[in-house]
Amino acid sequence: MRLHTLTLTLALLLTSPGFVGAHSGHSSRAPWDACDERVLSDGCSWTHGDDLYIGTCRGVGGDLMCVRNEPIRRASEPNPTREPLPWALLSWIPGVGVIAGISLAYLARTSDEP
Amino acid sequence: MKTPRLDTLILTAALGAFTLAGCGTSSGQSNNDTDAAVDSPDGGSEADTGGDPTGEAVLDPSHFLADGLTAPIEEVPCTLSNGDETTCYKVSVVGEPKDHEIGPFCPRNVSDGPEAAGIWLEGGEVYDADGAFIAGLAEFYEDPNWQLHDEATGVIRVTETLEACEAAARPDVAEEYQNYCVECDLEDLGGAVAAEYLIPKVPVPRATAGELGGTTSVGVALNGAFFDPPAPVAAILGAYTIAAFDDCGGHVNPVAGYHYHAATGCSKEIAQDDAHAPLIGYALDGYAIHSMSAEGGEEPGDLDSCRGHSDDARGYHYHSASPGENMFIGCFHGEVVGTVDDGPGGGGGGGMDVITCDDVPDGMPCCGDDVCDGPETAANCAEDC
Repeated sequence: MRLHTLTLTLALLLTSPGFVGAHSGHSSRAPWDACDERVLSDGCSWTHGDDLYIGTCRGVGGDLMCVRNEPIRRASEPNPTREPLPWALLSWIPGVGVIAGISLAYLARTSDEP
Repeated sequence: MKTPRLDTLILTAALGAFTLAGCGTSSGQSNNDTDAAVDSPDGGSEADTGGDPTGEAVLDPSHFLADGLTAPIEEVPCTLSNGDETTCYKVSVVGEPKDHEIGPFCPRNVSDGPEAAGIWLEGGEVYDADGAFIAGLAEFYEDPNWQLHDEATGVIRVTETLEACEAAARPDVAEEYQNYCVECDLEDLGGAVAAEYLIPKVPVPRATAGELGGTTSVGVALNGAFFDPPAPVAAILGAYTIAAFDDCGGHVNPVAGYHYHAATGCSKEIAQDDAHAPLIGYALDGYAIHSMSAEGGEEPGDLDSCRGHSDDARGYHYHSASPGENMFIGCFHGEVVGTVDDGPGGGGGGGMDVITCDDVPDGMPCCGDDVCDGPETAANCAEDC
């Protein structure tokens, strides 16, 4: 039972569409930090709270910073991105998988019981 | 006995699907980058060939407020960063907005409300830099060293003199001015700092996008002021200082005078016939800068890495970032007068945008004449201009 709970909790956590790294305070460096390990013209992103800023690394004052060029993805709004349809569909697979998994687990437990 | 195997299956499926979803996000982003700006072998971004298809002038001198100019806009010969000889508009601005008041910037007491203070831009958001905000900086930044106010009286330490402003608005903030709210008064500088800009009459797309200098303006507003690149906020915060902006997204430094870091809708705008976002100014490469979006409208979804795109009505043009992002454009799509960086490597100003000779191309205000020798200040700027 505990194993079930742990497994399902992990699965739900990892497959949640809103899963992002924890926000650790206000960071004015976020657009710059987003390009720390990248080179000019690389894609980049940074977050503020649960809002996602996606752009391209550009040079500003001799340093690289993430210049957003996609509409801000507000956590409180439906995803307005131009994400290609196949990827948009894939993003739903985890949720479908979890539901299917829960159903299978329930059926398996039911069938195991005397 | 079956249950553990099913658990493993579920977890494996979930992890696999999660990984796929992650790849999807990454790939989608990459696709968008490709759409926005074709990367060239040298790492720059290829210019959009759709820019300015007519080859006609973009800048319209009639859009500028007359009293925001020190002289009528005129055509002069100029040399672009690619060596081309062409015609430029010489735009001489007074260096202060003629359609709105300047300030306030810093509150004086923690009890002051937003009407007595400006704003602070942080992580994409705009905050009222009022007394409560200043008092809460230690919590806001999760750093107990923030303490801009006197606990007993609530009085906030503000740079009240030119000397204090110059000492605090530099890359290496003087120790005695750490934990200050920094603001400079144009009156202390002898008034607005006028500036002349040479802007190509017919924009010329670059082969690769040109990078922004750390402190050189990126464009001119229509009201007598100008747009600067993202403020080096990290350097400012590193000294526990807040160089507050007024509600219009501008502030004053000892060299450039009043300048904008954000488009908040204060400055003169030119409405578009087709409900497109209004024109707010021109970049130094001659392309128009529009606000991020029309009122109630959505931001364009096809911006390139410079934050520009093309349409039939306007050709290539930029859209300003949101006010909280401390940015107008991300790079130059076109050639500018003088020099422009092709990538990181130049110096960047710290503090409150104090500039060095390396930051300023020929023909721009201050420097460029090989006689300046370090950070420019109000004291040595005059002899360099």
